[in-house]
Amino acid sequence: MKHYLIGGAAIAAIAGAAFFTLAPYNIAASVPHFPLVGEVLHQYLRNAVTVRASRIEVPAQVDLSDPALIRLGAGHFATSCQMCHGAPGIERNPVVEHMRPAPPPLDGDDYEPEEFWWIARHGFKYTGMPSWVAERDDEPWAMAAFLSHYNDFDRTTYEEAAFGEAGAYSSDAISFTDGIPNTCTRCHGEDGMGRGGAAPIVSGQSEGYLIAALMAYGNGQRQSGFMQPLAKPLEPIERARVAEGMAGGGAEWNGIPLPFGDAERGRDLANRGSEHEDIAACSSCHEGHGENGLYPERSDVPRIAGQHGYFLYNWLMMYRDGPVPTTERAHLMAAAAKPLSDEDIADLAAYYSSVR
Amino acid sequence: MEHLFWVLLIGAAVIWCIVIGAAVYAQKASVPDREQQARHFIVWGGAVFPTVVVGALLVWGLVILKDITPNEGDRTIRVDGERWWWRVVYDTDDGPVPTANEIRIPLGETALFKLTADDVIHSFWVPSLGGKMDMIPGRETQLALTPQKLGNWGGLCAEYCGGAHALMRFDTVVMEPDEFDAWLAAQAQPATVDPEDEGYQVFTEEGCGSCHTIRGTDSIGPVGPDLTHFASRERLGAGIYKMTPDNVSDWITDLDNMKPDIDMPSYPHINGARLEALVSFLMSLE
Repeated sequence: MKHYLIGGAAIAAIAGAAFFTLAPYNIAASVPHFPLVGEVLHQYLRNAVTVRASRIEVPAQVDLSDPALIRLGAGHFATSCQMCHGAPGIERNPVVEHMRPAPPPLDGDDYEPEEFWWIARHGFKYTGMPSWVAERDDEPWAMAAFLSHYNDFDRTTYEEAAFGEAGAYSSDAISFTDGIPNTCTRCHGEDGMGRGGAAPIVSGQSEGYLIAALMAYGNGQRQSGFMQPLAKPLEPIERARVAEGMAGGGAEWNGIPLPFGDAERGRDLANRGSEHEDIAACSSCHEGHGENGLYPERSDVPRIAGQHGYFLYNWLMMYRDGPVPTTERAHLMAAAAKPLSDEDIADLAAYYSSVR
Repeated sequence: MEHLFWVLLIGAAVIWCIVIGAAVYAQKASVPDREQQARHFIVWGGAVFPTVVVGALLVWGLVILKDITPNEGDRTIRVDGERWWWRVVYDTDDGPVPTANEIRIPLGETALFKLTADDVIHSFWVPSLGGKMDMIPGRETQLALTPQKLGNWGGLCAEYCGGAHALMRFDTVVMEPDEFDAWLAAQAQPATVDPEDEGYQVFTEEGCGSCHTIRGTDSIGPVGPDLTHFASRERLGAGIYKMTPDNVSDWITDLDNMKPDIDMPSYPHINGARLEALVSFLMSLE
């Protein structure tokens, strides 16, 4: 009996080694899977997404039907997804059709928003689908918002949402001259006001701050799945040009208020802090200078008064829960965010987004 | 309280001698074996006598305890335990005078400490001046101290309160009453700060004022110690480093080594002339 076992194990080992070395299973993308293999693998993938997305909830600050959030998702889709998946009214490139598995066009997918979030956040092994560039749980919700409305778009409305003046958005404020890459303006707008909440307002930030932010995104010191892919390729001269074009704009910051949170309490916290909760006064660094005292004193500190509430909320969450940027002074902001509760963050974001 | 000490010492010595004497007597002498006598000896010497003595001492102790935990003193000082420092407020007729990490009291007067805790349980203890008293979140406890000698009597937190507990100390300076009055009057004054002062510029630029208050300026942060008369304190960092420019400089740039775990972040990027200006500004806050 014992001999049979040893003999069997030896044969199995030799057969295994031969299979591994001679590689008889054809991995060529040009050759289809054996019958059912592809279907089984795909169904496993669907099951895995369903299981993993089942415990995910849409966070309080995310409104999946918010046109601004959908615009942000469409803009990023154009940057990072369209090249493989095609887009509304835009066929996939024949090259990607010859991948196996081929990235599917997304017009037929009936995933739930939470499942879209999970896929965008985590990607798939063995398929070519990458995970989110940054360790940011907040950002992929823009993709969930866009993809949930994917079939509402045709080519024209998609391109409007991703690149142009879409929906109720209109700009009567300043406009940039040449030299700002379309990759910036597609989300931040021609005028740098963030296209009605699709992206943060950047017009009016200091040049120094914008250069520092682009550098931090470019070298990964600050994480963002939206910004890193666009900032990394920029040469120093391009960063300077972008910052120069975007900085110092004169338009009034018209941040879209956070739809929840107590702005009155937020004002109190922002200006006076809290002794008992150990909350520092935000205004001490972020306000007190420039026009109406709404600008920070230091050029490497961002203006926040009048910024869109959605981003203020997400940034405070990011500084509290990570990933905290590793830039020189980011630990100061992390120390300030550490004692904040969810409620404090909502109140502060509600207040600062309503400041004019 | 001193009487109690001497009574206890002498009483204990006398009782000890009697007990040892009885033991030696029992060994040496041939005591008649009488049960009745032995029972009396045990009942009176082993039960009644200790009960009466300890009971009397307890009553006396409670009476004295009432004296050292009065509800009023010559002045009230509020101390709030924070992780890991002391927020100190003198209540005066002209309003509260906030300071931190250093307590000054006049010789011979009774100071009534009203003790609270901001986060976790701390304990307020100046061993040379009296007993310790817990500081409990959501409650106010009291402790009265009447210093009899001039000097600096160190104090500390006597209840483990987290990472930097061992570095949560304070100076307790006992002063002549008139010197004390002058000191308190000086502490009550706002700081005189030139808004153009280079060091003050650094102070505001770096956002120090979001946590720290310097009375008389725009810096009104409520989180950390009041810095209005920072340099008048003998020590830095809740009673742990001498107040010298070098230590202040290290405190700002190398906090993670000076006092690990605390909420204040380190500012290693402040250096050169800016650091010098900031330190000399802080050292001017007397």
